[in-house]
Amino acid sequence: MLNRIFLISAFTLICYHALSQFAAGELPRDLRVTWHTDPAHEATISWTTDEPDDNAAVEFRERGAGEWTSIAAVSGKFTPGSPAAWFHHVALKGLAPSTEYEVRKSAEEDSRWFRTAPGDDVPFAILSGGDSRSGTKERQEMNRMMSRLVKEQAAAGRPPVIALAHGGDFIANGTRLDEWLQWLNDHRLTTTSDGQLLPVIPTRGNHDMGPLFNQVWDFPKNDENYFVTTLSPAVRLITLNTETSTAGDQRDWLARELADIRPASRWLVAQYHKPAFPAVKIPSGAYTNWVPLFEQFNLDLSIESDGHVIKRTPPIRDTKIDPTGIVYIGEGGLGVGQRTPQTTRWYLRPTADKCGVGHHLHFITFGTERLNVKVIKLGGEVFDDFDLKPRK
Amino acid sequence: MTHIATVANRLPFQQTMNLSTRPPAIALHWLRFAVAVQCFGNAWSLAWGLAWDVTNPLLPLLWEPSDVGGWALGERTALVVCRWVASLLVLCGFVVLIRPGAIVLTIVATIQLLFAVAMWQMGEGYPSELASIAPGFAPALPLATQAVRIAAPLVLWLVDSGKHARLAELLSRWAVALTFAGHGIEALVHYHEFCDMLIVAARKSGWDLSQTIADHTLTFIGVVDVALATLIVSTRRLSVAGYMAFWGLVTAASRIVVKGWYYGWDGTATRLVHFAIPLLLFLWWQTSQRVESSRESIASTGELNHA
Repeated sequence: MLNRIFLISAFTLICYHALSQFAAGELPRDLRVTWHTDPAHEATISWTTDEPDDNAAVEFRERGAGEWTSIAAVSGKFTPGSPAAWFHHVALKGLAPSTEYEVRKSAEEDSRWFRTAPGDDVPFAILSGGDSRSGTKERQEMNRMMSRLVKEQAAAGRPPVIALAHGGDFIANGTRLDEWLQWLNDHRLTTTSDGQLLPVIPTRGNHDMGPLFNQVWDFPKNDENYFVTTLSPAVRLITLNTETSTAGDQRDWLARELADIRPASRWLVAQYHKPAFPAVKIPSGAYTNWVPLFEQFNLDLSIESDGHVIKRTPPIRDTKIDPTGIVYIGEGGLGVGQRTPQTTRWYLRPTADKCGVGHHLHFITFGTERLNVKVIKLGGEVFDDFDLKPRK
Repeated sequence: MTHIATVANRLPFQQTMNLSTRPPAIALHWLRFAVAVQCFGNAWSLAWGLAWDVTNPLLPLLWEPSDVGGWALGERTALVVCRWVASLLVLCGFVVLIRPGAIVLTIVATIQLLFAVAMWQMGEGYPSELASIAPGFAPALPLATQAVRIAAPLVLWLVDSGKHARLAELLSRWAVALTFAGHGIEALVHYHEFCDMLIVAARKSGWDLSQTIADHTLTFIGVVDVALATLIVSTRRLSVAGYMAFWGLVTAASRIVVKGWYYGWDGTATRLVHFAIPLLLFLWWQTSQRVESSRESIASTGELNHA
């Protein structure tokens, strides 16, 4: 009798273990790239393993030429969460701008490559979008579309797509490692057929709570996740965090940064998760605490997420529609179910036909004469297309 | 129910007091008003706020897909349900003002419980700061922070019936304790929304408050909240209930101060019970103490006369 109980228990445990492994899916072993502040000269290469690896390292070189250089990774166990998994980050520094770099984990594995941000004032593009926390199928399709867009842009000789600025809410529950691993697995689909990796500039959303966000994106343990990314000498992207104090230190920092970088930036863009001018829901602390600074320093474009709609406001200044104001776009369509925007709100009425429903991303091209924004829906339809001129 | 109340009153931490059967009328009026306003505030957040948008946690629960814990009803159906619930709450609000009854108050409490469950299930209504410290515990925090809002209609029913005074008092004390403890924990982890409320309120008063000072203030508030939560269930001090009523009113009103009337009034409305329930305890205990004192005084006078 005891034997039978033991056998049944053992069988149940084995089945549970097998099922949990199946549910967890394959670990995201593929290399990925994260950008923080200086992507013309720095990049973090990351990957994941299901057991510790004391010898984790990445080899890199300029694409197709030269000797491989090996750099040891900084590794750690994702905590908390299951299944057990270890992150490995290699911070590449001293890179050359506008240069393609090949990276690989070992000589036995295929290499991938990425392009550093430009060091000169040349046109380039980024993809932008948020809210990939649900709708796995749609998320995967959006990722495939990103891969296609990167490839087509290069094939057509247009300004290259250099990164994905993600507006937050990567996953539904930021404390769930299995959700992060699934997201990272899906992110592999953004890699082009010839192995080009799409670097991510991450924003923390309200669903990305907990310590795993900093572990996934190679931020210091208690980092508050607000920073300026110099995309080129003339273009800066400010990533803000609506999930920490918006009125305190972050606001003081933003005021200092804007005063510092505005004079040297032709294009100054901000991304953050919870909107100041929402198409659904209510305004976040961004409205009270950041918008006055955006207006004081003439931000060019503000990218918001969280609402799960397609949105474009007219230029807004001092809570009025004003040609000298700031355009707010968003609000997150990288997989999550879409809602209907409330276009009766005063700041959406004039652009009601530029607001809509559907999975989408923003394709933003930074030129010398204009900044172009296209809203591309899943399937390729261009839903919106507009230009901004540099401020005098 | 009477049995539970009797048992509860025998618990060792219960300070002896001959509680009067009903709290004073003024406390009941305040509670009735607060529960009605709570209904209207919730109805606004469900249907009438911001050009027919919904800021209530019920919408995500109804609308979100099942892979993230929602009921996947679709946006249209979810909005229709929200508006029906809002209409029901408005009706309940008026009934509570006119003549509160068991059925209506149970409906209000059940809907409020549903909001707390929605927050819990959808991972909303708790500080992201807490997720870093206690990820397993954090999502359940709304069940504590919403306790007074869930309990208030039930307390009104119990005291209004005049039959379950002890149980009403017990429920009030534990609900207030849970809410203060929950908010105390949020303050102790320096919940960014609380931090911003302090800074913005100070800024509106012409005072530049740094985040460091705001965080220290939150630590102090958190310690006081948790201490009060402990005291309210272990003693019957008027000062404790009185301070909790005062603080409940301040924190409810802060929503309007910080967000303005349009964006903030429903937040204040739904939190008015944070003032009304401790006020009920304060006035109830005060009356009971007076009655007890006068009884003792009569008894001692009688003894003197007898002697």
